Amino acid sequence: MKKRLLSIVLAISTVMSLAACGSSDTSGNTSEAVSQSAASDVQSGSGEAKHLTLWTIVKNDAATKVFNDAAANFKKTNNVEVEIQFFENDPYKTKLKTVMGSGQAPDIFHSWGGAWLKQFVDEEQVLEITDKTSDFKSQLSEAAWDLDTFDGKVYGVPYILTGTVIYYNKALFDKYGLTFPKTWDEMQNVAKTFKDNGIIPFAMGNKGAWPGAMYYIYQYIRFGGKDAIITGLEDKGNGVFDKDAFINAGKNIKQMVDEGWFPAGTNGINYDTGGDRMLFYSEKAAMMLQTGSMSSAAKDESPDFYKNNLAVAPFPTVNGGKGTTQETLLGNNAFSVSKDCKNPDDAVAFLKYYTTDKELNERNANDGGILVATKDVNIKDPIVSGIMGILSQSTSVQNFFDQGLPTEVANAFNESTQALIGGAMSPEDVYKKCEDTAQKVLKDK
Amino acid sequence: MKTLEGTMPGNDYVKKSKIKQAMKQRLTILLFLLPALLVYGTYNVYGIFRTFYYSFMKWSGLSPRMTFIGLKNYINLVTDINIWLALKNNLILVVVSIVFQLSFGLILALIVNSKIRGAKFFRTVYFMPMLLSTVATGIIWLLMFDPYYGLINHMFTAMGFKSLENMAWIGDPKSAMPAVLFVVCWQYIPQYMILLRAGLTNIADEINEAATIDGANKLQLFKSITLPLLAPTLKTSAILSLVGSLKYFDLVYVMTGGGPNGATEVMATYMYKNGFESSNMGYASSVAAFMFIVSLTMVALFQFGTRRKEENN
Repeated sequence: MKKRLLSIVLAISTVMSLAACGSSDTSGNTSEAVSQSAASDVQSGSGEAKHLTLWTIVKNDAATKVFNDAAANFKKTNNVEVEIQFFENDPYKTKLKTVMGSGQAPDIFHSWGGAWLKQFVDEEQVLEITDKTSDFKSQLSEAAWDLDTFDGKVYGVPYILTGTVIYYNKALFDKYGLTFPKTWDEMQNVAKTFKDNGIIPFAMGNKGAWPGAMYYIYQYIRFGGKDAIITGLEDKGNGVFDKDAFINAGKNIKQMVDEGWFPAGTNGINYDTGGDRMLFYSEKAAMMLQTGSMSSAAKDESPDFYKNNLAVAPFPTVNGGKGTTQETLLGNNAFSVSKDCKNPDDAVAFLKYYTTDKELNERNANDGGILVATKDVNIKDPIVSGIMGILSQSTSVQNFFDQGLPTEVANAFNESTQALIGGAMSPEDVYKKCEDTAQKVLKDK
Repeated sequence: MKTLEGTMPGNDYVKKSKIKQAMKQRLTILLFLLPALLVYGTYNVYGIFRTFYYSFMKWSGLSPRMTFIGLKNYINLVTDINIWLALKNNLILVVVSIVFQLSFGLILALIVNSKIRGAKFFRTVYFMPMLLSTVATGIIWLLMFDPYYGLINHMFTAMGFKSLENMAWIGDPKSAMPAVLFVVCWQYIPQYMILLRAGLTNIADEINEAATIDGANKLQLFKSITLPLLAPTLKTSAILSLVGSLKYFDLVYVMTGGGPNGATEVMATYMYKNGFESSNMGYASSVAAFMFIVSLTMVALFQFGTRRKEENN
């Protein structure tokens, strides 16, 4: 009995000592390896590889690969490990706000610039990077930088332009002998032809309320022209919004709703899960107003459709409107560095590498169908270069209201346009609700 | 205890040891309860108190910075039409849940508890909705309700209801709430089926047999034996259903997000919207506090009401 006990004790102690040796061995090895690579790669003081976390909502296959390659290359050259996490659009917004509030923000985070980014800046959660980015500022789109700059201070590095254009199925247009209309009057005929043939003119999934808001904003700037463009919340003497343009825009949207230009139950169709894109790809709908995210989604989801059917065009001008096709609805995706980031210089260095490297961005554009914010990139993809062409013609830029205006006004606008599309509000009601909310926010400031 | 000790001095020693034993037992009980109490206390009780604390603050939730604004959130709350609309939807949910979920749950429980052939098979099949995650349930039903590709519209048109060809169940404010309610019931009926079946198996066969010998028919059996003996289980189920409906969130969030135009907004989705979409965590906390008060009051009223009835009986 005693002997058996002894042997068990011995066996256990042997195993434990072996395990201890093993662990001490490996840890010794790795630290050696790290310090070696650190010594050979960069002259950094500490031996450990530095670590950065980055959150983005880009999720198409090609773009994910570009991200991972960029991180791998950056690790080789700078000995900084960049851990990238990919999110869905709407859940991302919640997740980021939660971690921000609890002080566990990622080092680099995705944002849409404008008022959305501003709320974090106001809460002092974002690092100002004006000086750190000055050496590569000229290599990225100016219009995009503007959206991430507040009072002359830069808070984000733009990486994607979210230029909004009309995507259309050119095969359907050819089938019915139509050309894409230049004016809203011509659009009436196009829409009628499609409807007569059982095709929905515009695939819109308005569950999130922002897709419908984009139709509204485009109508608004086509009526009001560049003077009506809203860059921030300010009363220009006769209200924040141009009243006539706003109400006329609403009337056009209402007509689209009344005459069935949108799918049935559009307010219940979700863009994130692709209910509207499904209608578009399956030729049940002919056109779609969407941001640049649409091209990368389509390239991934329906490559044949992307190659054979898809085409882009600017939003038509409206009868009696002051606007031209040179005013564009454009936002951006930007990366910001959080206040608590321990290695801000490395973070900006990675952003510089990611946004300015020609090879990476050409892959993003040509393989991923992404509208990169980088200038002078050789774009071969016809859709991306088509959108770039429209953007390059534009002389003034309107940001999305829900990214450019304070949350309260943005919500009022999105909710009331959704109500207009649902038939619960009139254009006049929408105007009143938005203007009243804007005035209230101005007064509270 | 002390008075006992005083009145019976002769039994002093025995009493003391008994007290000791009781104390020891209490300590053991306490020790066993402590882990659960700690977890519950930290994440539930403390959380509730913090919510009340936050509800007096103006706080975006984006940073630890907050300012005390007294009752302003609550003043805004009572004048906010949306919270009353949300409460109305919650109350609809409560009524529909208790009426439909409990009655269908009971019917299914009776079916799977009876000695029909394949009862086990039906029990498994009926229980399945409960096994799906809520998000999966929501997305499956969204696809079924789809106006163009959905199974439901295809089924109706095949049956000859041509007007329902492109019916937008989720997209139309009028039909969105019934559609969501339907799915909520679909998901939760199995839970009550299981609960009530457990209650049914607790009813001793002897009672039923005795009643049958006395000449009671099936309906009389159900009315005079099954239902009264099932009452405690029914009451528990009703409370679960009541509280669950008042703080309901997930299916509504997945299927409609409270839309279109607030047609399916419930208090929890409204709280979520304020807290995480509009970055108004202070106001969201006051919505949460309001939910807590409403739920507590309703449960208290329900308990009080049912107790009186029991006493009368």
